Amino acid sequence: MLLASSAPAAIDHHTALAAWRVGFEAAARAGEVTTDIIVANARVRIRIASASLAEVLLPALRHLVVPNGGAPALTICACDEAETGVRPAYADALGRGANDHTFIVGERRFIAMEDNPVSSICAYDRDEPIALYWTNAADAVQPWKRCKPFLLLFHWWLLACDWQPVHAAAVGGKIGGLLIGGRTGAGKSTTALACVRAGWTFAGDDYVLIGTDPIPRVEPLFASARLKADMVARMPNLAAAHAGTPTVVGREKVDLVLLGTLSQDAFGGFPARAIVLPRVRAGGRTTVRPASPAEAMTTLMPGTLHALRGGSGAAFAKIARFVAALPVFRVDVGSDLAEIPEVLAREFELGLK
Amino acid sequence: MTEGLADDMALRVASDSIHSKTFGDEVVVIDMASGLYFSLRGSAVDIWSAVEAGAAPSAIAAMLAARYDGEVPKIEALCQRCLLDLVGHGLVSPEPARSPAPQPAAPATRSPFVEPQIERYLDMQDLLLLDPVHEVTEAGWPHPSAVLPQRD
Repeated sequence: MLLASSAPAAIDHHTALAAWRVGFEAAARAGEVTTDIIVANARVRIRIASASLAEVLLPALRHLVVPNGGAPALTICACDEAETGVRPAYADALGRGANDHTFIVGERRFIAMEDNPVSSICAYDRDEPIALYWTNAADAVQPWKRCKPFLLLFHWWLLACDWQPVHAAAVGGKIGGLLIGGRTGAGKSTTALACVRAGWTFAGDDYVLIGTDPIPRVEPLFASARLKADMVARMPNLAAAHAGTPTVVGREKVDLVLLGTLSQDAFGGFPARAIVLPRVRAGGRTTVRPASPAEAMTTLMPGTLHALRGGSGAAFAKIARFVAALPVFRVDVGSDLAEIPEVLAREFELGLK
Repeated sequence: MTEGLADDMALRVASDSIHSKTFGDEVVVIDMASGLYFSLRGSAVDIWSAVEAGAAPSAIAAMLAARYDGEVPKIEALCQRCLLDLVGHGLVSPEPARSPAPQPAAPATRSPFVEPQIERYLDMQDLLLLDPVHEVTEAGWPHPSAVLPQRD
């Protein structure tokens, strides 16, 4: 793939985004699902011009739903071509390599196109602000995307403020919680869900929001989790949350949407007390020892900055501020799942239920 | 004196795609264009700080010699090697000094010299380069990034 030889045909953003918006509004007049959620303490209005697409995109966000009303800080307009006939100009942009994910990053506008032929497009215009999401068909939205809908749009929207989505899990108690960082297979989700199973509050798995103003804090984003297939067998209460079975870095994983399996009050945010970096130690006991901030940074960065393109400098700075404000610990995760929350509860003052 | 890097040059962080943060005795540096990230330790932390301030190679070597106890020729040689490594990794670039380069602050106390260490991480590179980024301006798309590496 030679990118220099694949210069795409020119698209004027203003015209392309306006036409997309007009197409969405026409489709929405025929019927839309409107849902207000709270993200980072702000109201976000999600307008979906297709009932089948709403069924796909909303389940992982239902724990954040509030009654509709009031002026939103962000409006997301979503539609699919199969049901509405809307097709943004970006979908036919030339010059992209096979299977490319292409990100167009400007100062005020961000656009991402996934796959070639394109499977989904999202765009954010900071001036309005408005976020647009398009996919070719609701049933083509893969399970992992259903588990973290609009992630890029939330990232772009939040660039201008203190909050930042990060690739991490988080669990806690009444007075504080832990951000759990780890690469695929490290034991991040196992640690988080073992604690949730023990009654801890669940902020999220895979991606959560972090902020430092005025204190380090974690807020929920998606009611979803991704576990190794063999681990689901050890947590049978989660089996009903099954949303899909992708293979990630050669490992079979299971995507879970947890609202319904967990009650609404099991989800929440909290002040962050520490960053923990788990590592599975088969057959061993769960132990905790200090680690360096740089270890936390190099753990949190790759998964976050790879997935969340655009504004990498701002995202890096926000993650660095969060890491610098908290102690960091390495957790060797033993085989006994019940021991994980016991050890962490002993080690950290979190005000557990 | 820093062999390979002229003393009348100023050093600077090579591009806006490079971000760094110092955590006590370690600096984490990421280059979003290459997908590489780095951990700098030992006296490489001082060297990076001086580069961020726009210091000249000779001034950085002199700063290390003043800050640390040790054989000055060895300190200068290791400083040279570290700077050349940083240039080689694409993190630092020399440019003509437009005004007198800043002199790194003199240390209050001296301590034993710790060799500069640069650790490079590759695990994010393939992920980042898999997904091309087209830079755009308000003039519209396309303006493929001039720094985007080409791949076969």
